[in-house]
Amino acid sequence: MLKEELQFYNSIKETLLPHHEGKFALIHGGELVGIFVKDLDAYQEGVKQFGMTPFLIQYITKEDEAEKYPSLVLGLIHAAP
Amino acid sequence: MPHHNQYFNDQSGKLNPNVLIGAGPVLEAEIDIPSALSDYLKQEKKRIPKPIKGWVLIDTGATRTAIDERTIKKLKVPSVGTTSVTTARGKKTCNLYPCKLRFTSTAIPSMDLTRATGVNLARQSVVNRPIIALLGRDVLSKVVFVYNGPGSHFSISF
Repeated sequence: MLKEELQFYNSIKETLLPHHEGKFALIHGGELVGIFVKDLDAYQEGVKQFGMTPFLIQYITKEDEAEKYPSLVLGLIHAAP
Repeated sequence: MPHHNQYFNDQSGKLNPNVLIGAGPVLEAEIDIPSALSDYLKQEKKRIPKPIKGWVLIDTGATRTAIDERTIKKLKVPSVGTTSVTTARGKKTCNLYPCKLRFTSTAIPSMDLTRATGVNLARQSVVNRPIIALLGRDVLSKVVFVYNGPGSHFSISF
């Protein structure tokens, strides 16, 4: 899911970074729909334009940091991510 | 500022720190479709899925709020992206989902999250109700959370 959108984002990432780092890109198919300061605004616009059809909301950053869930990784609540 | 105290009593009705130890800092909650999606479905006169009840575990170790992926898939909410998650075997890609968390029986306002991590919380339960989400530091960055172990309660202010 969102393979085309993720590929498109990676192709334009370097162009977006200088002016939009820290913002959110709304991408549908191979099209950049808009740039938003808040992810909720990007989502509302995405639903308005595309309804239930999947679209990507991508945080624009140089390097994506991995999320950490020690309770899951260490088995403290017996589940895995 | 909305405020909620959650007390943990044993079967005799007395406050008991062991109950809080066993359950962890949990809140009764529902996962619902995001408000924007609900409005869209209403406008299109399409069926709106019912929210799913369970517990939210306050997890100060989690960088981002996580939701049970099977639960959000039951609500048919499309993913809006992916993120890397550190696991014991290295990094793994997980889906990100928008959702609405509603804290039932509390004064805590419901919240729309745009990018919660979809994880497997299967088989996790407290008093026969599933844990459906881990409230991570993205949300905790906006609240005051006090864990009182000896007093067998916690408080959270938004």
